Amino acid sequence: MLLQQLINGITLGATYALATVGFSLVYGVLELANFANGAFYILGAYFAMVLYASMGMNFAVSLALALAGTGILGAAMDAGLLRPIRSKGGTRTSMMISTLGVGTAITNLIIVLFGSETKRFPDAFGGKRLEFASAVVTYKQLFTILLCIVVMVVLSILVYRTKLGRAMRAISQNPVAARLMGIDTNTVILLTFFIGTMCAALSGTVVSMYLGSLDTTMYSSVNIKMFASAILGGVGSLPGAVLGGMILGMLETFVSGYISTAYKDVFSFAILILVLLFRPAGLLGQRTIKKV
Amino acid sequence: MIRKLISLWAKYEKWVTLVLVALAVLFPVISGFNRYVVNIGVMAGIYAILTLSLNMMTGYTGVVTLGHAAFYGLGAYAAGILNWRLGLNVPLTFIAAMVVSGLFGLLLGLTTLQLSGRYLTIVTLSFCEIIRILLINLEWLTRGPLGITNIKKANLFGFVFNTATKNYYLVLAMVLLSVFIVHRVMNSRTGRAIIALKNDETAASSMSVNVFAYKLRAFCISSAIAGLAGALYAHYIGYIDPNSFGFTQSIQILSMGILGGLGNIFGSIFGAVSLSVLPELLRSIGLEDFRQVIYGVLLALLVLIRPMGIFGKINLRHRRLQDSLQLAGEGEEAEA
Repeated sequence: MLLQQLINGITLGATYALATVGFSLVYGVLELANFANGAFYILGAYFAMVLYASMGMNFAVSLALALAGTGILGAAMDAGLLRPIRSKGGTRTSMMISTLGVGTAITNLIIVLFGSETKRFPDAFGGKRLEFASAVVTYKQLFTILLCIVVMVVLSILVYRTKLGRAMRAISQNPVAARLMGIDTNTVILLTFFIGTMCAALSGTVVSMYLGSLDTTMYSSVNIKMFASAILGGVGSLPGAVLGGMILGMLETFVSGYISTAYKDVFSFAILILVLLFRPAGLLGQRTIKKV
Repeated sequence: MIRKLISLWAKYEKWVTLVLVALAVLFPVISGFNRYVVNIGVMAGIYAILTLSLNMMTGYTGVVTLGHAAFYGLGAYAAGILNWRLGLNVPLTFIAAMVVSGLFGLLLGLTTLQLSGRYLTIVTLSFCEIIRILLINLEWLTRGPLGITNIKKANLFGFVFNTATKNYYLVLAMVLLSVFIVHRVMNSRTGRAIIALKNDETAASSMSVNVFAYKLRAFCISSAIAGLAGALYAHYIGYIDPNSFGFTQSIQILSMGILGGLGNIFGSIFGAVSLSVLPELLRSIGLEDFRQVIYGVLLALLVLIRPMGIFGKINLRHRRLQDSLQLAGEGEEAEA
């Protein structure tokens, strides 16, 4: 029982972590809560479902195509809508409203095209599972967890070991200074959106396969969970995003397993508020000192 | 062109306001007492109150809130439960709604207002979710997901607000009351302190402005006004359920505030009215299915065209001063 809960908790945590890294990447660079991410999450899953289940393509190929397609849309959103707002001196709140507009449009377009009923997402591993010591691990759970680890490693190398990553961190510290140092800030931000959106699409697809279904009502809850785990772990910190996602996933699984299913989210949010009261920058975030 | 218009508006501000109020008063007559149209007016009015109160929180103190629907819902449930269980009606349910929402605002503010901007945003969002889940699960109090049905129409000492038009005037009166409150607070000592601390919190606190106390006051008043809007909604619609007060509604209220222009009373009302009317307009031209899609696209385009909001950064008093200086300058030149 405990072991099974632990496995389920880790899987749920991994899905949250996957969704959060994309959100956190953009949040770290622009300090923008990108609520279109929730829509890209669903869009990616629909893309993959259509290619894989309806058109019968190979799972890996449909996943790759879905990621690329959604990523390009995310980058287009930045270039077409957010960059002009930034150049006009608009605030982050204005950009946030813009992403909300995009999110609403995409989610409702999906409803218009596919209907609002829940869709089935087939298991690419044919329901295979491992059994040991009274616990069951399905292949898709393993796949989810492994994918989370791979994405984390790749993103960590990208952010902490490459020139692009250094540019991202520079912009997040001081965009003006970064530009003065010759960093092409607009291109770096565009790439950040491309990568962040791909992460959202990836997690959407993986989660839909793990749950076996997908629907558009996930939009709000995905956005809320992403935002919450990003802040819980520490703003703009990749390990923080994973930690935040893991904690939320574990909490939810264990609270619904042992305390109450109805109140699982109350626990998560109450703990989030408590953590913020004692560590305002999140668990792994660095406190910035306000200078005059 | 736009500059000229703003100058004209600044010059005749009182008249413009008067004409707009007159139009709002005559609106049911103009629409020919069409129930459907007046109903849109009532909802626009309720959203105007919500946006005005959000404006106080976000526009003046700079707390970007993603949880305003929580206070709206608390007010609606306070009024709904009192009416359903105890049969209470208008002056009492309105006051109770404001007190309940205000107290929750005080509670949330006391514990979390020391956090800085972006963390407060997630706190308001979490608060809204917690309230929504509690409303769903505290079935003995709220009837859970079923919602509270058959809330009686507002009844003020025997006068029953049983038609859309009567409710419209009730809501309009409350909009004017909210405008009055926000205007008075913002032009008082508290208001000046609040604006000072929004512009530069550090500078304000070093001028011995008690940042926390002023923020808390604005936060409380704002949540109380949102509660009033909730009570109006509960009595008007007669049915409330937890999902009418979630993330989606919070976003909608924030969009209205940003679109109209933060820190501007006129902008708030304009944003609320236009975003309430827009979906109905799309419905009436036969785009029912694509309504939400177009709404989203327009929202994104509008912030793109004017990131500050339509009436953001327009300061009539400043405009008047500039115009009068310019006039004085021209006068001197003519004399010389």
